[in-house]
Amino acid sequence: MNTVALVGNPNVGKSSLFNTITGARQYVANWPGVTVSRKEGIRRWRGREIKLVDLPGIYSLGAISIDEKITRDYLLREAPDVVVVIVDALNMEQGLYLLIEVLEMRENVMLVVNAIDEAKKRGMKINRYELEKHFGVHVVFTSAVTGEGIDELLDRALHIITTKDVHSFVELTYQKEIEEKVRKIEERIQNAKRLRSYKPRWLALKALEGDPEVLELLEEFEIPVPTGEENKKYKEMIAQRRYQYIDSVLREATTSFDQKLSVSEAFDHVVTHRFLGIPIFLAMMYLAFTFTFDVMSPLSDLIDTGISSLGEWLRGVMGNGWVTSLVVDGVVSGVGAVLVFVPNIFGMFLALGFMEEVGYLPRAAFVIDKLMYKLKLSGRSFMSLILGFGCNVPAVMSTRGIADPRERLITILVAPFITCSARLPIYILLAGIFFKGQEAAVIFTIYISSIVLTAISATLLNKILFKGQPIPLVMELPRYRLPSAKNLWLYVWERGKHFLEKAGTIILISSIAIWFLGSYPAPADKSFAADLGKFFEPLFRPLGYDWRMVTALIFGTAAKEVVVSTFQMMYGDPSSVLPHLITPPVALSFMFFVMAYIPCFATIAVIKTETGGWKWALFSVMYSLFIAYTVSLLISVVGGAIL
Amino acid sequence: MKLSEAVVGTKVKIVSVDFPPELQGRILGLGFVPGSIVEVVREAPFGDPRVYTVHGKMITLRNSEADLIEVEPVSKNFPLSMAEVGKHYIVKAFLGGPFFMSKMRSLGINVGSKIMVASKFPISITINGKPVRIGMGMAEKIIVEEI
Ligand SMILES: Nc1nc2c(ncn2[C@@H]2O[C@H](COP(=O)(O)OP(=O)(O)OP(=O)(O)O)[C@@H](O)[C@H]2O)c(=O)[nH]1
Ligand SMILES: [Mg+2]
Repeated sequence: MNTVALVGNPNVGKSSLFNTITGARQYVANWPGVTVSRKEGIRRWRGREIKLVDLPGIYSLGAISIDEKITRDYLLREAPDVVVVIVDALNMEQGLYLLIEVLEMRENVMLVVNAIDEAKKRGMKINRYELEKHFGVHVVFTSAVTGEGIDELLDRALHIITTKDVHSFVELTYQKEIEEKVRKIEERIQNAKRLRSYKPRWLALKALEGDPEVLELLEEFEIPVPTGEENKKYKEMIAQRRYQYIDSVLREATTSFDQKLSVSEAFDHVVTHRFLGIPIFLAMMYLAFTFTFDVMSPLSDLIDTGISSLGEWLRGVMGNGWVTSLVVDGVVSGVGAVLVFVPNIFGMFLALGFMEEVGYLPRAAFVIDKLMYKLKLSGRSFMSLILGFGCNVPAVMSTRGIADPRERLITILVAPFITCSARLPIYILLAGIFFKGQEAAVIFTIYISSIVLTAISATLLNKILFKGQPIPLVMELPRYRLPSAKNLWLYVWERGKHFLEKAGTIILISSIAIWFLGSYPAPADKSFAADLGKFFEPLFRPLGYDWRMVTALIFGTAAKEVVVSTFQMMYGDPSSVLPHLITPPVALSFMFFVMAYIPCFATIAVIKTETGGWKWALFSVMYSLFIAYTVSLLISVVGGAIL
Repeated sequence: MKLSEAVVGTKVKIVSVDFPPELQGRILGLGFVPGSIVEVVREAPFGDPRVYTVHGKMITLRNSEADLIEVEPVSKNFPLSMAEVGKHYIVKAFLGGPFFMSKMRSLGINVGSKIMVASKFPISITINGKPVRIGMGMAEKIIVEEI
């Protein structure tokens, strides 16, 4: 099988092309740093199997963050048959810089100019033959949206695989001083067997730049290489020469076009405005919540009715008996309790997906950066945190794009406080019972509190664990794009599907387990579940929780939706029972507890893998329990005193 | 002059960059190399970070990072607030949003308009022989070039 690797700057459409070619559904969104690990897929083409490799985006091979290192290491250690460098048609400069770097490293390279649809729309013309001539590679124009050029891309790749014809060979010559040094180093390593897999010129250039890995490779040859300030100077000279070359090529190869679209310019001006920026961010979030609740609620009610009828019908058909009870009171009401919220959760993802696809996310990060700076974090980590509103797992994963290890760790540890969509059902349920008419406002408050809590935690962790130092924010703002219905649907479906899968697996199993624990040895008060809840209840007495609520919290550690399933099974009809048991402040306190306490199993697992051990995962569990208890106690006590 | 000191809306040319090695690779790769033209596009709430355009890409930098980039002015463009009394200027660009633009239009100030600064504090200009008072905030957003 032949391997074709896709590399390029972040956000140029590598994953989109990968998806179009292989039929995969990798995460695609309009902000830099979406892909954080290597993904592989297969495509049959003209009777051959081609393995495609999608990689995290990079600006330069002198990589710093974890995701960038993955790409660099891949190019350094693996031997794909073709390396496809993808650049953005509307902004080729930085992409061509990477192309030059890759060309210095390997021979089997081709260039893809993607998003050609956008270039056409703006009347920009690119001369393919100029590009081929000046970079010495095959060039293909593609669009992942219209599918243009995909066949040709595969044909050219196959051509390179079968004939080894990579077009011509163009070598960029650097300034005289650099060329002289390069030659000296090249001579020394010319015959080294161990280095045969690297191009001597590339090694020499990297040695001049002071690349630590290359220096290590060359150590045994005792070559006098420049260090410190000199490295810096050479690096700068090399980069300068590359951009000079790119500029001169592009002047010939492209026509100028209207850089600034007046609409997106005006939009950008408003959403990143000095004074309006932050209020607009809050307003957008509020809009997203109103959409999630008000627009989606009728659908939820419909499902609710459907599930109740299903239960009734099953009871009628199956008669009375423990099996019926297991099916109706356990499975149908437990899983059903969660399914009712599917429309809300899909709504939430739709709102998030829109934000991600339009290109607003990095702008929000930009607007909020100054505040994050006070927390010794950056706008970049804010971007990761926002993803957590959908699910904490991808939020933790996306921290790979954070270059500073300390900032990354703190972001991982505080990410679970961002309230994910799985926690939504319990908020909606309780807000619907205790704060009728103000649901959106109450839930919005919880979301804002979750951000505040995250911020406080970050400060705390920075103070206690690390001597915090501010980190830089070097981030690209992508251009605005109108999300396509297809992309949005895929986004929503991929995530919503995961939720449905959870309903069919972990929530189903939990429901059955809870039914058994709640029915034996005797139902309700004398069951195992009751024993469990009552055993821990004294701990929660100051907070005013009923033992059934305690039981729900315990089961909810598996997945937070299970809290709602447990409520449904324990209370039968929570909306008529609960108001007699607890007060609104206690309900609010409970919502906060669910928001903050122990991340779900999946999140704990991903924290463990991303931090490389149990230490931080366990820390996260204990820490979040502590925070949840403290905050909820405060709400119960203060709320109780006021009322 | 440091990049962080360049006024929003102006273009400058990079003279040198001085980043620690771990960041230098990325900064150079993004196109912040000596000789490149950088446009200061916008600033975030509280004036930090700011957005720059370099080689066609919009990049955010905190002022603490922009401090490490030494630049020089390329054009004689600057905001009206820095103009001198008695001199003639041509309006090159506006930095405001849609509201600001319509306000400018209503005052008869357009890109290409020739103006003369009659007084400062408060700023008053003459355009087509007509005197117009300009607030300090507005003067920051009108980019002019001396003629
Ligand atoms: N109009 C248009 N948009 C595209 C095209 N290819 C990708 N996009 C959009 O560009 C954005 C980024 O696409 P991705 O595929 O996630 O980019 P990537 O290169 O994988 O980005 P990273 O994983 O962050 O490095 C998404 O919003 C896509 O919908 C294209 O050919 N035309
Ligand atoms: Mg990707």
